[in-house]
Amino acid sequence: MEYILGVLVIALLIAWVVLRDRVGRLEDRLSLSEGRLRELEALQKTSPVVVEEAIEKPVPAPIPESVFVAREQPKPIGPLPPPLPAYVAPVAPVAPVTPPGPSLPDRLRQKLGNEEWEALIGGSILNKIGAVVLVIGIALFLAYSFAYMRPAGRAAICIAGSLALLAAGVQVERRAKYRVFARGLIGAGWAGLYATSYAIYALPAARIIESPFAGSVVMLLVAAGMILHSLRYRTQAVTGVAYAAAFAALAATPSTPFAVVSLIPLAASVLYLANAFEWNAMALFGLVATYATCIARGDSNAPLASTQTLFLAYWVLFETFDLLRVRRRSLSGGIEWIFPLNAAAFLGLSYMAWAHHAPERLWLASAYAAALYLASAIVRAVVRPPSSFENGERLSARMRAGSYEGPLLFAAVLAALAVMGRVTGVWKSVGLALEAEIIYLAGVRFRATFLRRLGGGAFVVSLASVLWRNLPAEETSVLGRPVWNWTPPVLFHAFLFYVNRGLFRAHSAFTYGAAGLLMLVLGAECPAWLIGTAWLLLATVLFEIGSRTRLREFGIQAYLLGGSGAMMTALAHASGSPHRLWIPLAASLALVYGNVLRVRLAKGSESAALSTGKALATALLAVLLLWRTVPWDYVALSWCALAVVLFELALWKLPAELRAVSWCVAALGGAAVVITHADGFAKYPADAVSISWFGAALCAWAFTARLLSRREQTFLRDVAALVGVLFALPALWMVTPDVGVAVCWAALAIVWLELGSLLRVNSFRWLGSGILLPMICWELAVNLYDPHYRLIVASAGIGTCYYFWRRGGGLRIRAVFSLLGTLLLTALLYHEVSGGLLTVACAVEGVALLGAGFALRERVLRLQGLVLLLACILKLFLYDLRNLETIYRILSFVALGLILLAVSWVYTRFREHLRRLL
Amino acid sequence: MKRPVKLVLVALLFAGAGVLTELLADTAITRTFLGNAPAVLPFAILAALLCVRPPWLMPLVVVLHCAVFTGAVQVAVSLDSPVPQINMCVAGLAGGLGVALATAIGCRKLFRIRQLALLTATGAIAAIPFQIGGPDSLMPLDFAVWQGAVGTLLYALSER
Repeated sequence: MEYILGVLVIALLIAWVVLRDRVGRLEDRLSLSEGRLRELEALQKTSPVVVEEAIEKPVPAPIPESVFVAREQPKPIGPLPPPLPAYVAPVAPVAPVTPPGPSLPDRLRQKLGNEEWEALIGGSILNKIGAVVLVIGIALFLAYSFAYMRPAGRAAICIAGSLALLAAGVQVERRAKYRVFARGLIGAGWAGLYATSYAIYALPAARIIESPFAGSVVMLLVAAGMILHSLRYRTQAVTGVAYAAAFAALAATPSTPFAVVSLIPLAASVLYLANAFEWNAMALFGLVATYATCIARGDSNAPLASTQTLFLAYWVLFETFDLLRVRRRSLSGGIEWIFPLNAAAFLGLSYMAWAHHAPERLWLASAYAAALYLASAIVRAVVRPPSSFENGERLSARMRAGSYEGPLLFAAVLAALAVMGRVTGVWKSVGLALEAEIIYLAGVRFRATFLRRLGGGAFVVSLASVLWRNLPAEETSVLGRPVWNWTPPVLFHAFLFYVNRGLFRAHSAFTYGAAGLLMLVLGAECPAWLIGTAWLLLATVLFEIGSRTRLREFGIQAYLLGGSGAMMTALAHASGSPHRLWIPLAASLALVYGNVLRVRLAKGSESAALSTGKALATALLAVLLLWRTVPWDYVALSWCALAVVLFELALWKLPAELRAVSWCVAALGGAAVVITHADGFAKYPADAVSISWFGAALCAWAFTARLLSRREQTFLRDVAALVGVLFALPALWMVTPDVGVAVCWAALAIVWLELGSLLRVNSFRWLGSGILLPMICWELAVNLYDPHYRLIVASAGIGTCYYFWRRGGGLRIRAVFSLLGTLLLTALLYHEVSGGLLTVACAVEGVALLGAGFALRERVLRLQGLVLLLACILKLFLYDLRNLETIYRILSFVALGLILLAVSWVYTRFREHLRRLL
Repeated sequence: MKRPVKLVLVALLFAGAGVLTELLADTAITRTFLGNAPAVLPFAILAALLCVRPPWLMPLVVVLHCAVFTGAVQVAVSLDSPVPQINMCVAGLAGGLGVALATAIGCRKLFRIRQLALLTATGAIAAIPFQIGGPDSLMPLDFAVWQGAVGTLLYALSER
């Protein structure tokens, strides 16, 4: 059954090939007709005159017929068939009006070469079907066992019949008219012979050859005859069918060694013909058939050396052919698939062989294969040098053309597999990295971008393998210290990256990669509280390298690393590292600020953003350092002091960007003073509280003093002074007894007033004046209720008010000060004098104010006196008249009346003087 | 980059190649050329890339290095001195001379008596640490020392 099926397949294959030729010719004719039609239409559109000329004259340059014939039959040996009508038909006259398109039957006929369908079926298709049926009949005859004829007889009959068919076909084919018919006979004759040659040793009913070797030789001889005969027509398809029969013979033979060895000359002959006639598709077919036949044979249990030698021979054959086509620069018929298919088949078969015979040395096979492909790459680089490609040609196009890149890629992958197969543990990564380095080095040496990129890619793969194989990580010991398994290979990669950059001027990406790797290692190996410091240290080293080598990339890396380091340090230490571990924090601060000084002292220039960043980092780390080192109660104060220090540094331009940062730190410190000591804000608090408040005030005034000395930023200066006062007032309240609070505040106010006068800073005077308000309030609310000290304290307050009144600037402010003094004095009288004499006392005060107003020529005082007298009158009638005892009532009325009269007399007597005063 | 730094980096590269040589070497097949070739390829390719001038001579130099390595191993295992260091020293001498001659094909500067003698002596001295089969053998370090020393000297002499 299998035999019949095989024969049927072969027959169908022959029929398919013949029909394919036919259809190919028809398609060519159709395309020619369409092309000519388009030309004529174009002529008609451009100029009617030209069209007419074209109608009268033959087409000036028709496509030569030989072109089309050559595509089918490059070098015809036998008589050529008569020219086909479509090729030589005169150009049909073109009508002025475009005629309607041909009908469907016409188009079909045109497609079939202007032959009637009936003639086509009867003359061609039936011929092929007949040939196939005849071959099947021969096969059935051979397989059928009957008593009247022995196998030799049946074989002889079949051979005779086949030869007769073949001879008839060859004879008839000489006549052009019967050519199609004759080819059917030839195909049937060879198919019959081939089937017979197979049957005489493979089928029991027809077996006359017992030796498989002899049987195979006979089959191969028939196939060789087919091939040689097919060459007469020089048609790729026909010769390909003949070769298919030959490969099928080798696939069917039971002698495996014979089959696999015979494949070599067969494949060589295919490649020879493919190379001679540029039958690229047939070469591809030969490759597939060779390896498919070999695979179909299965394992022969031959020694590894023999098997590998055979595969090597196949590989060399097809690789040589590919090299020849690369030199010929041929690129058609899918020929570019020869290389990858050959590689896939060779490597796959070799792998299976080594895996079966010596699995422990698979790495060696990979190494050998890598060497082979390296050699192939070198030869390709010679045959098709990179300079032969156009600049900017895509890699895929170059690889299709057979450049050295493809084999080199294979060599690199195979070498990597060899390393991975042989080497164990972390050394795998070291080996892969070295391979990548060698590839990259070759790229530098030969100035090949592809090699450099391949090396870079190999580095990536190597690194990926490090992490892939070592995660989750285990520890190992290096020089007595436990480190992660992947640390040494990663460091080795970083070393190689720097070597490439330093020795071979590699792309700056290498140093970025190396810095990233070092950062990774430091991050993994250091404890959390040390990572940032380590990164900062590395950043410092990179910065130094960058400034010495003048390579900008190191500077960028240093800044990136430094920023990350500072941030990491801040995060690690802000999230609660032990207090004792302040040294890394201090070291980080020193590194960051050292870099600032380094740039400043070297008179280097930096962008404002970088300087600001460094200033921020410095301040942040310093704040954290103080937080970690200073006792908690004094942290806020220390931040305030830090702000002063930073501000001072900013004034020295170390760097100037610290100025804004110092304000931020000062704000933080001030807020911290308030918040951290909120619970202890009370009279006579703990030392830390009062010291912090006083310290904050002093720090604020330090800002004021420095700004004052430089005569700049007056607004901030005044704000700082105000903030200082706001801290000083509560601080004084905390540490001073109630009786002394107002006195202290008054002293403070006087100090600011005098400072303002001395330095001619109005804002300071206003500040002093502002302090008076809380002082008055304090006295009114607290001191006047203290019977023991109120006289003294109120006197001090009143004295301060009148001092300000005397030292004050404008008229209005002086009026305010005097008003405050009067208010305070009146309040004092209210507390000191008993209810019955209060009206009299106030009246006396009013008279005194009037007198002072006259004496000092101060209208405000006089007005205050008058207002006070008016108030006394009101009190007299509204309050005293109803509530005082009679004696006091009388006294009050009498005294007030006299006083008013006296005042009136004074105003009348000194009217002229008053007019001048007014 | 300054020359000393460059030489240190090159020495480390060759030392890495030496480590790989040991890791790839198969003791069962080191007596054959094909068995040695994969192991010595890193050193050979590195030396060819760094020292050989005409590119077309590089494959030849690589093949010759593989052959030299095979020969040196043969020398080491065939000598029967009671002091193993002497065996290694002689093998290193042969290896150093062979490597120098092979590389000199692609770098004429090495083709002088003084240079060859220097490389030979370095090969011999650098091979002293080898102790084939010893229980405390540190083969990766041994090969690293030998290839690092010879390779760096090759590079230094060819660059001069």
